[in-house]
Amino acid sequence: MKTVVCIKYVPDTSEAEVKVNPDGITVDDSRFSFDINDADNYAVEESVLIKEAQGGEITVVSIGPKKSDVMIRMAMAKGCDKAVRVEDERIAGYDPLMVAKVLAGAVKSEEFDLVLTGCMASDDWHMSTGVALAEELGVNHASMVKKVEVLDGKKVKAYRELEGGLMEVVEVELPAVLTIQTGINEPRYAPIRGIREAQKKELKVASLEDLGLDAAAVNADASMVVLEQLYIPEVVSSAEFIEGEPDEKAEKLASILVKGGLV
Amino acid sequence: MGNVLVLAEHRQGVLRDVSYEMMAVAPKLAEQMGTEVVALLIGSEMDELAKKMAAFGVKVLVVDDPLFKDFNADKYQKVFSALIDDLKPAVLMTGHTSQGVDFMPALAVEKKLPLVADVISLEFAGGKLKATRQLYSGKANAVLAFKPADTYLLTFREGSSGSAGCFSQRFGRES
Repeated sequence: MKTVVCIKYVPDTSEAEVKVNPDGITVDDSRFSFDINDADNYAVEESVLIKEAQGGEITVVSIGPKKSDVMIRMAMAKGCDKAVRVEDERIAGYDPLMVAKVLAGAVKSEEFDLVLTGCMASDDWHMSTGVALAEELGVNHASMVKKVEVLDGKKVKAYRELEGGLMEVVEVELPAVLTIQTGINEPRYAPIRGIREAQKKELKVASLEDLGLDAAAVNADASMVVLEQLYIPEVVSSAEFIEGEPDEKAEKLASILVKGGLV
Repeated sequence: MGNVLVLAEHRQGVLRDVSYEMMAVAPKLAEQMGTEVVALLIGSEMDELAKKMAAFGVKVLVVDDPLFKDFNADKYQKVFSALIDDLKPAVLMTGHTSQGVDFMPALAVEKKLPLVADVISLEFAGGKLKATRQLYSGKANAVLAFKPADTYLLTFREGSSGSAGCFSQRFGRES
């Protein structure tokens, strides 16, 4: 099984203060710590599990700056075999459709049966890139996958996690793209030996031209949307405190529930 | 101008909350655009759900065939691809749900149309459709303007139509 796993280097903004730059369309990321996107980490682990069970080779594909090599080497330390990092500032990174075109260019230069990627990036939350990538590649897909079974090397059974804890099971003929949910497996820590070996593995850096792509097809002019503005939303508190004796509180609460149509 | 076409999502015979929520959002957008809302149901034996959607005072389009008993991204993509050709909707809106995210990006690539995903609010002014969505753990909002296109694709986030509207729609569902 030849697998490509697409990963993204993202800032951890869960505890950080986000400030918009004076240009109004970018944020000041100088103080953010960056690492692999959470869902992509699970995609890497799933690709390694499949390789361990089926044999084969894993290629990492990522779009990002030089500093993201640390993340790529870590994926290699866990068992990925080689990598292509696309570095090109002309890519309209805010539009997943443009990102998908670039990833497709990189994936097409590899032989593949399966492409895995996280179902969502934790910085921009689009949940669109993997499915758009499948269409660019002209292959099947399943999104939000919580379990994968390789059936016979020609098909996989993908369990899609739906809202409300339901599972939808689909059989997908290979080649295919699967977008992976967090929690599908338990991502391993990279072993020391793996970290040493990773340094010797092939990591190609490619420009758009190297991939045979025209910048005019994936830049902000090519994107059919314009990122007009970023702003920090006002925090509004709408918590209402119910005061009074217990039976008064109960009465007030009951009337709110009735008014809201909830009982 | 084409209509605002809204996919009324349902599962196991029940309309999903996001379908009601979009019925609170889409008419406002259609009014700003000077057009009408058309709700689309895809499934098998859709009569009852079609009546429920019609109660919102919108035109309801039904694709009713045993083929569509269960959701399937490829089938939905084919249906929408044909509908875009035939109806030329100004906007195609679905929920940002396990259904919407499973085919809308592929549809956008196939039809070479713009897509904004996980939209929390919409505005049409001065001939431009603008969509707001969240980034960075919800700590920043991004405003994206669609460049002129025949059809604008968007997926709408569940629970962002405003709580008051949401409650009344929930109430409506039970009646």
